[in-house]
This record gives sequence, C-alpha cells and structure tokens, in this order.
Amino acid sequence: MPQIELAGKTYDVDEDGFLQELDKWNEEFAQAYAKTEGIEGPLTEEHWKLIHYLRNYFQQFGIAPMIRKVCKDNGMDLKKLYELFPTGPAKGTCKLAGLSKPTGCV
Amino acid sequence: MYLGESLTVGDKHYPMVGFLPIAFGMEKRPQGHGYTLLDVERENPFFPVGTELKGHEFHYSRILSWKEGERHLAFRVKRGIGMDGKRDGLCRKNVLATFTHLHALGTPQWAEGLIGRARRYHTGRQDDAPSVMHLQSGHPEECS
Repeated sequence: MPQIELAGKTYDVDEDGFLQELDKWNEEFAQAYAKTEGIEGPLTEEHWKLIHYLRNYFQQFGIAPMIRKVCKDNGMDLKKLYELFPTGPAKGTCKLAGLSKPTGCV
Repeated sequence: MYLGESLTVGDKHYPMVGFLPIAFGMEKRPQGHGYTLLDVERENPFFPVGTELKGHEFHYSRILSWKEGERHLAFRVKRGIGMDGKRDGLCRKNVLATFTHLHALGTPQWAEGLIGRARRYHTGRQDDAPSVMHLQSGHPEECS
C-alpha cells in the first residue's frame, strides 16, 4: 500500500493519495497536504468549514455528499468551491478531509 | 437482488424470485464502495479462469443468509468486499451475479463468453428437437 509523509508523519493512502482510514486524519494532515492541492498559505475558515462538513457527512452516511448538496448546505456556489480548492471539491476537498476517493458508478 | 430469495428493508420482508439462494438486506450505510480487484478462480459463463478483473462496487445491500446447498462463487476478492469479503460472482446456470460492475471494454472477454453460450444453446436446440416444440407450445425451456 502506498504511503505519504506529511509534517513528519507517515500515512497509508490509496494509489491516488487518498487517506485509507478516516480516523487517522488530523488538522496537521490537512494543512500539510494543502500545498500539493494548489492551496498556498494557511487554510482559511472557509476551507475548514468545508473540510469539517465533509467529514461530518461521511461519518454519518458513509459516502461523500453530492456536489450540489455541498453547495446548498454551505451557501457556496461551485465557482467558490473551486476558488477554495483549485483541484476540485471531489479531489482536493475530500483528500484534505481524509475521505476515501469518492468513486462513482459511472 | 431481484433474483434472490428475499429482501429485507428495515423491519419489512419481501419475497423475491428465488433463483439465487440468498436473502438480501438493505442497510443505511454502504456495505461495499470503491474499486475492486478480482481473480477468476472457477468456471463461469463469461470470463476464463485466470482472468483478473478490475471493477467497482457500490452497494447498500448485504447478504443476510444463504440457503443450504452448494455455492459456486467464481471470483476471489483481492480488493473490495464482494459477497462476503472474500468471494464474489455467484453462478447458477447461465446467470453470473456479482456486486462488482465492470467497464465493458476493460475486460472484453465477457463478449466472447456470451457469444459462446449463445452458440452452445443454439447447437443444443438443434440437437434436441422436442425442446423446441416445448418452447413453441408455450412451456418454459431449461437453459443451462
């Protein structure tokens, strides 16, 4: 299994760099991973809002939410999500939130 | 799931077709979700033994119980959950039932398998005239 080293700690990830175990996540992980997802500087309050929202949703339902639901529940449009996470809400935000890769059926 | 014995949703229990010896239950959280990797270990209508299959599964259902009897599970699960964490691909007659779904072009052997089965069935019908007559008179025909 591939591993990634961030801020002095080693994490098991899948072939696309998604964390394998939700409970191994911590805020240092997200902050250290941010740069590889095109986010410069410290994560802002809006970044953390989305990250915690995704983690809570995943813990409750076992999947990542649909993108329209992410926008609606957080009062942000898709453009705003891409401003915050340039590599996209599915890839960037889920990766920083420590979720497994949001694979679909199609 | 439609071909199984029954389907349980919450506290409700629904009888299904009963072709596959499985009672299914629906859960609130996914029971298998993500990429899968399978080895074809036993004979089945579509894929030669030894083939490696790369697919995807996403299901809220799980197997609650199996009916007594032989289970012909064709795939060994190397990644993913499948039917019991170790196996997927239940076969009965010409049916292959699997939680994993595949891209048609990713493992195209299924097409050859399908045609092969159709050819075998066609040949069998030519060799067995009475079964054709049964079919024409409206009786269901065995198609193993």
